[in-house]
Amino acid sequence: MSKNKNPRFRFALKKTILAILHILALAVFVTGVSLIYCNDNFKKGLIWMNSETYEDSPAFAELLGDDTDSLFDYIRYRDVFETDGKLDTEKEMFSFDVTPGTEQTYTLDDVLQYAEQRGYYLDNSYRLVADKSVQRETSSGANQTYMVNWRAYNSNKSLKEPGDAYMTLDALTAETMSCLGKYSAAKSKFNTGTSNLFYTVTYDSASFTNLDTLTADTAKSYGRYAIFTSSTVLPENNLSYTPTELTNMVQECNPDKESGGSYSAVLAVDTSYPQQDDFYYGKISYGHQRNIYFIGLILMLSGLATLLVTLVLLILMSGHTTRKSQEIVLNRVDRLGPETNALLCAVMIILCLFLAEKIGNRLLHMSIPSVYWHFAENMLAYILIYLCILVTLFSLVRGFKAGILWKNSFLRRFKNNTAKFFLDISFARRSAFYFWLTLLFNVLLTFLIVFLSLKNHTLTSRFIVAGLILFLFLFNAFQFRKKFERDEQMDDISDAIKSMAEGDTDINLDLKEYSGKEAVMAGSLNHIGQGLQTALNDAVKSERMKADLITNVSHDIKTPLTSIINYVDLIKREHPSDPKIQEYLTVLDQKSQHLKTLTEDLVEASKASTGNISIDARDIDFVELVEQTNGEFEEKYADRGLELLADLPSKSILIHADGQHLWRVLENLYSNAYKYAAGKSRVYVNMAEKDGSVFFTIKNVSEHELNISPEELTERFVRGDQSRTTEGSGLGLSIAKSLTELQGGKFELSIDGDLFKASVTFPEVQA
Amino acid sequence: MAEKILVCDDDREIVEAIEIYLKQEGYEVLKAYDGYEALKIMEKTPVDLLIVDVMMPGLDGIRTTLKVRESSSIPIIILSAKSEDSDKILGLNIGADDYLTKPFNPAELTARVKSQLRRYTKLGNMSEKPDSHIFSVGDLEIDDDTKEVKVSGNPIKLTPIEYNILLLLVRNAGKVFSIDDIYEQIWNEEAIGADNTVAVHIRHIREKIEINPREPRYLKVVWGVGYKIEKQP
Repeated sequence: MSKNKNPRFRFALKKTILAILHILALAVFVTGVSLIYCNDNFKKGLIWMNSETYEDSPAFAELLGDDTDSLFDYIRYRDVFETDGKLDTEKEMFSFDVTPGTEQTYTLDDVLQYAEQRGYYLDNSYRLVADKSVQRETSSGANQTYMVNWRAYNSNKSLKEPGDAYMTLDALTAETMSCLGKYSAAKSKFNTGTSNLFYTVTYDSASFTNLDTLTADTAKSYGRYAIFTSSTVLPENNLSYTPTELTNMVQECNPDKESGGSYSAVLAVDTSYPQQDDFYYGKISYGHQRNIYFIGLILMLSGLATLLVTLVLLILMSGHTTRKSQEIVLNRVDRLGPETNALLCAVMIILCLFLAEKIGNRLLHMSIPSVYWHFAENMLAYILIYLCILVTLFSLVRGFKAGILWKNSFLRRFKNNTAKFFLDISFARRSAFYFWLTLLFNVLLTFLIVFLSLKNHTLTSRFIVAGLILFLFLFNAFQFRKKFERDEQMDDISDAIKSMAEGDTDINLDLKEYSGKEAVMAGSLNHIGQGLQTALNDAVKSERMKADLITNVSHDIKTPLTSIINYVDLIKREHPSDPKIQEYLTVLDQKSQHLKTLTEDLVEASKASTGNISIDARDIDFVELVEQTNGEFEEKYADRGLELLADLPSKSILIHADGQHLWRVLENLYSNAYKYAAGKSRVYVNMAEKDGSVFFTIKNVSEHELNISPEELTERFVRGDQSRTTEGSGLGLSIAKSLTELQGGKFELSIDGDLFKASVTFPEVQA
Repeated sequence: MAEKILVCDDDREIVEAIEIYLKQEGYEVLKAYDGYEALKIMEKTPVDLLIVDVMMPGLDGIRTTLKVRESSSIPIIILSAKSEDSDKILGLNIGADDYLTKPFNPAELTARVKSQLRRYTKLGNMSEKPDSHIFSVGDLEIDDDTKEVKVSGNPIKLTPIEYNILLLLVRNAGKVFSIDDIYEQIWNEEAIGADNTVAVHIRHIREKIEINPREPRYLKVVWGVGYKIEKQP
């Protein structure tokens, strides 16, 4: 027992460790997925990880794009808001008609004052903010629109549509403030000494720069650069992708574009990042995120691998108690069957999801920022579903290993019950059942098809109707096929019965080819066949044994009989004078001779009746054979005063038989007449041919009363006289009948009063 | 000098009965009760004929016959209770000269012994007569000049018709004659169907020349075909 307990304990421990490992792997996997999902670079594919440096990454390109957008805002608005490098509040912003013909122009100062009054201001990052405490809509003149004449910050855009030209003063102010914000943001951002991005944009009438020394040549000493000139189509650059849209911006911001002025723009990023700007932080963040993403990826993959390995191992070990044990240990749930298990699994999942929603999600909300709530909730649900399925899976695996999965399933029980139902009912009821089922199904489906095709004419319904028609057709084809198969099986069984009736008892139907009631029937038929075969074999065997026994016994009788006959003969040779002794000797001699015939006949009869005799059949002349036989018997008959009257055809008639055996048949019949015919009577021998058959008949009047049937006469050891005092073995007719039949002839006896008639019939051979 | 005949059978009474019969015929009889004993006797004394039973303890008749045939060509008669055709065929095939079934007719046994011995000892003396009027088949001899018929040297009395039938068959030994053939040849008339005459005559001839008319050696009945005289009985 202690020997047994140790491996069991170790095995259980192993399983527990594997299970824990599986859960841990799940946690690792989930962590990895979460790290990837929550990374800033999620959804960028894995390509971003491929970039060797930050400067080649999409993040850098994105930031550079944003910065250049901002930069060109500055270029666009500098001269709108600035005079000699300083913000000039006297700059005129826009002009509109207060009343038709009365034009009013607002300076920046006017705008700022109005903005303050209306609650618009710029925040720390120069974004326009509207103070919510100011009730703009209700104040007077808020919705008053004016026709705008021009806007300094939007000089390029002509006011084409009438709608564009009419704006409220608030909207104009907000627009101006927004532009001012963009200008200010860019100005502060790209100040020399705070930015790692350097630029020099030179037009014919204006130039912008935050680094005077930056030229097309010096730009190349910085980490990344792009140089645009009016003489080249594509910018010269070493960026990971060519910023073609920048060319458009440079051209658009050219103040001399109407006159076709030339331009040149140089952008450069110092990739040593001396200033702590967005690029600097971007680089730091990039490295960080990359590491986290990488770790996430590794965790995910390793978690997945461990999950799979432990899952496979657990599936292999599940149900066993030791490593080598073949026995499967099942719990109650395992025995419930797959359908119940699936139902349980579904219930479990619903319960878990309910609990997760009520409790799990709340806990998550407490510990996780709201951005990730959705993700976290989904993740929790997935994990719970996975665990529920896992538990069910193991239950199913154990069931499968124990071989009860299919056995306990409702599907099987249903199938078996259906099969059993059809086994128990009669063929007629089964036919009726199938007929009504098919009819019901056809009617229902036809109604459905007609209904659908009349009611709906959409493409979908057409497809459904087509599908239903196809299904109807297939259903009927299937039903027909089933019926056809059953009928085929019945045909086979019928054939087998027929051949069995014709004597072929060696019936062995392959039960695999049959189903349902037909299989039961085929099985029964096989049984009958086997029974018959066995009975037949037994009968043949016992006949053989009987024949062998008779032969052996007759041998044993013959030896002492030889001595008896010989010594009787020796006594006779001594010529005893006493007439009494002479008389006794005669009796002894007769009886011993009789005994000799008896044993010989016995052997012959048993051989003839078991067919254990060789037939050497040839074409012989039946008439000649009868003549020969007559010759053999005529004188013998005369001894008893019998007259032999033969009526034979004059021509020869050929039959196919063994002459020696047929002689034996006739000899027995003639001997029979000799022994039992009434003294001084006539024996009639007759031969005739009719319809290709030759009939030989021998008739005599019996000396004794014939009170037994012809059938009994051909039984072995039956004689016309029950006393058995006369000579003869009682086997003659039996031998004659057996021998005739062995040669393919017919042997018949009939008794009419004292008239005994025997006939032998053979088919005539047409020479 | 009397011929020596060895009789071998496990049934002593049968052996003694045979001894009595053969001694009456003037033969010297040696007795053995199984195959080994028979072989031992034959080693010591040369014998002229062997009568052997089949079913014996020790060495049976078949194997004894085979042993004897390894060194000797004396006539062997098997005397057995086994009466099947297959047993007879087996016995004759392995080297026996004759096969008799028990229970046997003593007269038939002695006749067959005589026949075998004559053939063995006087082989070749018979057919040396150049006279074409003497016909012989086995022990059957017909002298057409004197109209004498002899079987094993014993004269047989036949009627003229029987004699003519026998002569016809002997002259054409091996050939089968139907009843009609014989009738036409002997009576010089056309045969008109059913007549037992020929068959009855044949039966009479058989009873006269055969030792056992039921198992004829010379005049054989081919049932359903006709009659013939065996060339080599």
